[in-house]
Amino acid sequence: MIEVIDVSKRYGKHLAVDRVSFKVDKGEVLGFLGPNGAGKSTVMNIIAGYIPMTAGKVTVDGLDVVADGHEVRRKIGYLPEVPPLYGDMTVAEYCTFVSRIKHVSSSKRKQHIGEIMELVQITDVRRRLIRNLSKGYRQRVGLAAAMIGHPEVLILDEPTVGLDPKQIIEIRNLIKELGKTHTVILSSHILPEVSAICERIVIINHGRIVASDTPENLSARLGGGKDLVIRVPGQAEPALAILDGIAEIKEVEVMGEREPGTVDLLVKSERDTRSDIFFAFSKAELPLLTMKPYDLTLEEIFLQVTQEPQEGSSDVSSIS
Amino acid sequence: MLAVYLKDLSAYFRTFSGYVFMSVFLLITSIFYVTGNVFSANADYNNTLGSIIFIFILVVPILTMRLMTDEVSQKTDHLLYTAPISFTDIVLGKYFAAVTVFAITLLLTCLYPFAISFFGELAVWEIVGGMIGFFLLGCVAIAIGVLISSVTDNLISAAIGTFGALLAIMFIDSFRSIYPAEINPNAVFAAVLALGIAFWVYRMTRSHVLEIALAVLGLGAAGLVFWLRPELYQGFVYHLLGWFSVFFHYSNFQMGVLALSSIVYYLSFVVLVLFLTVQILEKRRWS
Repeated sequence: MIEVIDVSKRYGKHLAVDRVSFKVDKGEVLGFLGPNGAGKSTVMNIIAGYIPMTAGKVTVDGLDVVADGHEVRRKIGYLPEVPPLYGDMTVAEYCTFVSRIKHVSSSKRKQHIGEIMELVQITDVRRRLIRNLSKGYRQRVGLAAAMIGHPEVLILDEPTVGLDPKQIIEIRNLIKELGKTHTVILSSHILPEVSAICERIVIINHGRIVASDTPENLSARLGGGKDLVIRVPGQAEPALAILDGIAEIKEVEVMGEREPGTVDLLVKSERDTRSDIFFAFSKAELPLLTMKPYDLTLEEIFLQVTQEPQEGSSDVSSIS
Repeated sequence: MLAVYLKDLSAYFRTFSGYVFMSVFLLITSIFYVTGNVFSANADYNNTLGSIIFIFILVVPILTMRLMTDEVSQKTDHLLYTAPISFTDIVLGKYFAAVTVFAITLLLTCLYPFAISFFGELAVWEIVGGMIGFFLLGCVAIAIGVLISSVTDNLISAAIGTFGALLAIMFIDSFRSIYPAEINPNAVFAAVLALGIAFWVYRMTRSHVLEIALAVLGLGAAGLVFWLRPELYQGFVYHLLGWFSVFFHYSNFQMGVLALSSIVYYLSFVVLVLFLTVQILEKRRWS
């Protein structure tokens, strides 16, 4: 559905996006992950036709975003980083305006807007000025604007930023729901968010794609899920002695004292060793205060994927 | 186009800028009306209109400064540029919204000559001609304001830029009549103009090759004309700048003459400026 081929974007001397290539199939939800300033918004702006690329090509449904810009823009609903809202309009006026510029026929307009407002739950604020809305509502009005006109593709740039946890869950569920009928590209700098919604993740850093895979493969490749953090009382030595007795454990790292009188250990192993650890500690009568999977932070993921350039580059070529 | 037009038209009355424009316009016109027609018991309304054409320099920036700059500062340009509408739709929608506000205000001033008609003979058709000219002049000024609003990044520079551009256009008449009509200074002007155009093209395209080619070509052409037919330079600046002396063309209307040439001049000026605006927006986007 969307094909990004060797797209680069240069701002003066600064190369913001460097030969980025990826493909999004029809009906797929793609997560675009990267720290702030990685080039996520630039790539999304290019796909949506807001800015041109310096080199490369983007096609949506076989149509070039530059040459057939008008046709492509009909197919895309775009929610930029800052929702493009007119503060002096009411929500209803704004939605009407958006439906007009997206050529929704006037006979269907009212019903169409009503449905979308209901879907993103802004019906109760429809008569309020956008300027007076909270950040969460503004985000949802922006999302409504992207959805107006039934575009096949939704490009959502950090749709959950600035929302409270309850709203984040609501928006996530909504996007999941939309993913059934739309092709969605979604950017974020929060890993759990992307893994919760997306079928595939593209990680971008310093304008380059460093990894591209399904959330499961990605976390498996990065050793996520199998590594454990345990917390034991007292010193590390007795615990290390016990862990030494479990054959599958590859490596144990002392993480230090996170809670007074205890010590945290990072246990790396080839397979799931939780039961072994539990029974070993219970046999030695040393209580396990905490045992949880070790979640990689985004920074650590970047460190990991950027430290394995071989694998990263082979991934890029396999998807282009 | 209609969507943008309706949005911007209602924006004038949702925010204060429409009301500010109307108030300032009506205040200035009424002062001139009271002093020029009422106090002096003079029924020549066209004369009053003619003496207040400077008003556009003051009020048009109020009307046009927000048009494009607000979209950029609110980031709503993301919405407009990624929607299935063209720059022509956007520019025309905005332009006609501003023209509509101006037209409504101008219609209100029709009360002035109407009031005169109770006390004396009114040259109705001459005044209609004068009003049409006044309206067209305003349309030209608004087009220039839309252009400036599209090339500037913020409200203040849009306002000052529009003010400056209109002021410069107003002074073109004085400049062109004091510029010597002899051949040599006009040839120098042509050469400077050729270099200026080459530099401007460089600024737009960042291509030194094109700049030098254009400069050589322009200077060559100017030099060739100077060598072969120097008499062509006689009054060159006067005629060239005459093209831009928008306010000078108003004199026909002021006399109540509805000259087709002046109407065509104003309309083509508007079309040209708006076309340029669309081109500049496209250029800015794709560079």
